[in-house]
Amino acid sequence: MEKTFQGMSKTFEDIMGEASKVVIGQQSVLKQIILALMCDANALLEGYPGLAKTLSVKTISQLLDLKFSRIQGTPDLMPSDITGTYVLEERNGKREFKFQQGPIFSNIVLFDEINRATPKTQSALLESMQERQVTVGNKTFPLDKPFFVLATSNPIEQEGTYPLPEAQSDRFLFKIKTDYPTAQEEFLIVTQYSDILKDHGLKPILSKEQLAKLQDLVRKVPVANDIKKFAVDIVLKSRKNKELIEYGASPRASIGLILAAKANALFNGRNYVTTEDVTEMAFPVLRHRIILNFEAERNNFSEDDVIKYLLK
Amino acid sequence: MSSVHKALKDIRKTLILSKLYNSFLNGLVVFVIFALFFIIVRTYWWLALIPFFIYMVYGIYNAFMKSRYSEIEEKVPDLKWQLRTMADNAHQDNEVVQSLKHNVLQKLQHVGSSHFYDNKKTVYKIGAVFCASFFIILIGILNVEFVEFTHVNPGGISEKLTQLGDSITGKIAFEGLFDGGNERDIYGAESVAELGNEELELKITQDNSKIDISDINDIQNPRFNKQGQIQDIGAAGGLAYENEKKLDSDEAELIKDYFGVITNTINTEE
Repeated sequence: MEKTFQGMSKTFEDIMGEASKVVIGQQSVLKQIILALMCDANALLEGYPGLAKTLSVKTISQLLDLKFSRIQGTPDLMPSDITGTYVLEERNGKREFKFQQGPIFSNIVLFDEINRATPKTQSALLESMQERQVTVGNKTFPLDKPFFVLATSNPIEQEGTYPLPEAQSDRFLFKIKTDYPTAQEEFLIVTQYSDILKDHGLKPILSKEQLAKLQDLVRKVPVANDIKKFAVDIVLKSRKNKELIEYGASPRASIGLILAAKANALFNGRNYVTTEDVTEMAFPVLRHRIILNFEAERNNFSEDDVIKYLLK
Repeated sequence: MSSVHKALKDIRKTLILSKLYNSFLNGLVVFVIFALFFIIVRTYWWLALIPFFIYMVYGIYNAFMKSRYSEIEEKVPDLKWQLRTMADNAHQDNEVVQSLKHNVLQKLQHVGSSHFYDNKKTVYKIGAVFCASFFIILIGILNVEFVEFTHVNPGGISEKLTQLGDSITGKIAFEGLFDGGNERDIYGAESVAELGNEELELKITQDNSKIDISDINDIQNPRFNKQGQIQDIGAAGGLAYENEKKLDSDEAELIKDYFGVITNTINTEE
């Protein structure tokens, strides 16, 4: 069994290694996307344009042998553009309605610039995420398994956008931040992508069935009561700290924190969770679940700064 | 009982024993240090038993009530978070928990008593006990008297401790056990009186007067003296000394025949 966990760790190393051939740098982004998949949860991806957000998701879907689709958020995007709609089809001289599946019928859905879509469309997507099914008319269609939504948003150009309400952003397990690459990484990016584009020949490392098994294993990872208390304390602190935080995280954050810590432990080839797992996962789990107050904004504190303060 | 529960029980027992051992050793250090201090301030040395017992009670409470698996993990870093996780999830049965149990049980096989006893600290503590004991013996043998402590002790701590000791001996009445405290009452101040090598034998016999305190009645027809005091109330006491010295037979004979001889002499004269 010990070998199984070591083998699992080796599999993740292989995935990261293969992904690194295509995505240079952004190791933490790739890791957090895999962790979100392991938790069978969805993630928000925030970063400036051109930071390989789409490429990262596409690469992961290839390595995990998952069906990938991409939706571009625009103000005129309708819910039926995502879920699909009935189209009139003529067969043997007879006209009948046939359901035409939308891009949501996929394993990995990348929703680019979710904050540009209208609240109505956002709600349709979030409902699908929650229920894992789509209802059109009077018929319900179950979504494929595994189902993973990765919604991106741009921190700049906020004009004409519809920021996600807190109740909806709470449904995403992670908010993954993409940072600019280092000078060395950017040099490699330029070298790799300014020359003749080559096919990296990515081969699937994990199958859908293996991923499902992995998701099952994550929930089975045992957690010590002290670790659970530690995670709950962090979330409670976010609610009690009125100096910097206006609204703290919900109990869903506590669940998410423990689940993410379990996935992180498994990712590192361990069958138990440590406080380091919780601390590491506190940033992506909490940063979209806390709302800073005026005092924090006046001092130019980011959500991550406040989380660091909570972890002290 | 499963092997996991047995292993957890055994390791906790080892931790408790090690904590009791450490508590006793620490208590001993506390005792000799306090005893040395009390001897220096010229008060009852056995007052050092109070901090010793307080420390031991705390140590025993700590050992039995506050022994956590996290303490074992601190001593065996290889088990960090694993032991606690296994203990909290011992009732679960799935492949991940099973693998954790297997790993922890394997690691526990390599955990010995040596993980719980810090030899370096033990040597230091025994060294401290030895040094303090040496000073106590030295002070006792050489009858060393330090600077008059009453001049330097703040708030008359020496006197307060002595009073505390007096009250304890008075209450518990440890006759013979804590003789040192009563010496001053019996012999007086050493600077005033000196007994030398002579032995003094004192025997105090029981008072022969008896008072029945249960037999209490009101005074019937009280009589008053000129000063207006009740005449019937008074007190009388007496001491009887038992003379164990036996009379010589000649003297006893003389006393016995004394009145007979006098009577005969009178009759003869008549």
